[in-house]
Amino acid sequence: MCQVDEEYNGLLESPVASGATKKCNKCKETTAALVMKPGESLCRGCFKEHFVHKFRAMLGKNRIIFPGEKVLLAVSGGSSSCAMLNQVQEGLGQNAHKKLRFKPGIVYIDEGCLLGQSTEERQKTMAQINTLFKMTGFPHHIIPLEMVLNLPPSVLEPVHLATDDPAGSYKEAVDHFMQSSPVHSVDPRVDRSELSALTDGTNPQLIAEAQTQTLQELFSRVKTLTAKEDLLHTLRRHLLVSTARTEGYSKLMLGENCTRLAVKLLANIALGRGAQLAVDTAFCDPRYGDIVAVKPMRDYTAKEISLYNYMWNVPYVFIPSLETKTADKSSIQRLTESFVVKLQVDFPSTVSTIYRTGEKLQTASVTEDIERAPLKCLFCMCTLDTALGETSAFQATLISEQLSDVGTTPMQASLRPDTQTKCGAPCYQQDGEEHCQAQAVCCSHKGGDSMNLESLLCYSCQQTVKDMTSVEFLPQYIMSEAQRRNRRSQIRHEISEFLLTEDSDSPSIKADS
Amino acid sequence: MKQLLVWIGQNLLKERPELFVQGDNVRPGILVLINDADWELMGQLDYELQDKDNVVFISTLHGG
Repeated sequence: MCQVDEEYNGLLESPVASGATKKCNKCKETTAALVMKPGESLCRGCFKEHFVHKFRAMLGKNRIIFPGEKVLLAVSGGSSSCAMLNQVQEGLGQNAHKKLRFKPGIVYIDEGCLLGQSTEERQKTMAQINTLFKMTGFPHHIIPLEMVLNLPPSVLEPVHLATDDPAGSYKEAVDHFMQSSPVHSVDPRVDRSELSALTDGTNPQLIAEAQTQTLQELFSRVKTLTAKEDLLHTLRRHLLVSTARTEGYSKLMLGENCTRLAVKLLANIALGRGAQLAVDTAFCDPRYGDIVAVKPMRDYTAKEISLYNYMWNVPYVFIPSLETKTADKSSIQRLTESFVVKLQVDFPSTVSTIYRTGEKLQTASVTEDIERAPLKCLFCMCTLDTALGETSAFQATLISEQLSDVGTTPMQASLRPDTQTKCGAPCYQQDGEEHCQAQAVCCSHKGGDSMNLESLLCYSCQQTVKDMTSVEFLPQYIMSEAQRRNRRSQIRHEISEFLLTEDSDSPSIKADS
Repeated sequence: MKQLLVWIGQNLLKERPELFVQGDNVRPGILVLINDADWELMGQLDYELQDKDNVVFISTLHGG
């Protein structure tokens, strides 16, 4: 914006006046109400059409959601997920042009324990959310984050399904659906709220005080806000996938908008998740196997969503998060967000450019062969990116870390794997404890059972765990799965010389722990 | 509009004014609607407020 000097005052009157009477670029009849891009402004009617069309196009183009399928909508209460909920409602409505045809359910995760909210505050928020959900008529579940402590370890394993050619089967499924039930339409507006055994928590008093304490302890052990955000995101995802599985949903819809994804893309690079960029920001996220996570709102900027919500009175609830009211530099995610948003003001194509670049990344297809499938990270369940050669950047960071190590904390020492590859000096037993000949404390063990988490995690999850002062409060399912995987790889290593090479025609001895 | 923002910053904001106003403009990420129309169509800060104008501030940064 130019400076408004005294002599320009007269000249400025005319541009302002013509702006107010600008016509919509699309229908050219009504006055424009909002600016989508520089040079393109739309009136309210055209905007709504455009908004709805984008949603349908996103779902239709990708052909992932089959008719009659059960889809779980993850609603955080924020503007994007409530806009998504609204679009699904409208799409399923009887008078919609080209109705959507799936069975939705809604889930909300209450994270009040991490924000230090009292039980009354949490109850109040949950009541608000409950009212909102009841108005939709879809089956809904309200789950406190404490439930993450009850998850089974199987949630960390992707479930492989036998898949036929997806394109062919989609068309067949649609035809079959159209023929079998022409009159009877999928009406999800059943007036019941399904609260299963997993979700006995609209009543926070039923949450054991101890569980809340455990979670709070866990997060208080994490030093930086960046790591806290990352850990929370991981736990949240696990809980969502587990809910979807128990309730029988095969798809998970997340409400992340374009701005959010652009920020995520850049923040992920800063966090060391470059190898997982495609999976994290693509429309379709297949890493859980049987539950496919989709992001139908990924084409909408935050501005479009907020304006839509305002103009058509879409209800949403403001829920504070870990980053609310924090300073710009308090975490990597927060800093990236303020960077992108600030840039967007002066260069309105920032978000869309980042988004388009991200679109070009493709997710690798899921390997059918379970034996040959690459190892997955324990937390984020993406392919491990740390099993690289001597000349990789990852090895370089390890070496420089070693060289700059003056004295490690007990945490970091127990994280390191107990092999000789690190320091080159052999470890030997002495008085029941293993010591290393090298000066640096690089393989000291506490007792016999060192929690070898590092080799099970991808680079950025390793960084998150390194930011924790202790791992003792990690939920049980994570620890037991970690132990299981460690034992497996240990046994595999021990009998490796007896294993035949993995050809398709020769049998291999499977190590089962 | 500029004067309105300054006035709001001084009189209405109780905590953390920098979360709303930065300098003499709104913080990036806050939308302004004047009579339900984007303020960019009206000239943003240079718009002269008229009688009975309805100004709405929407935050796009929370939620998702």
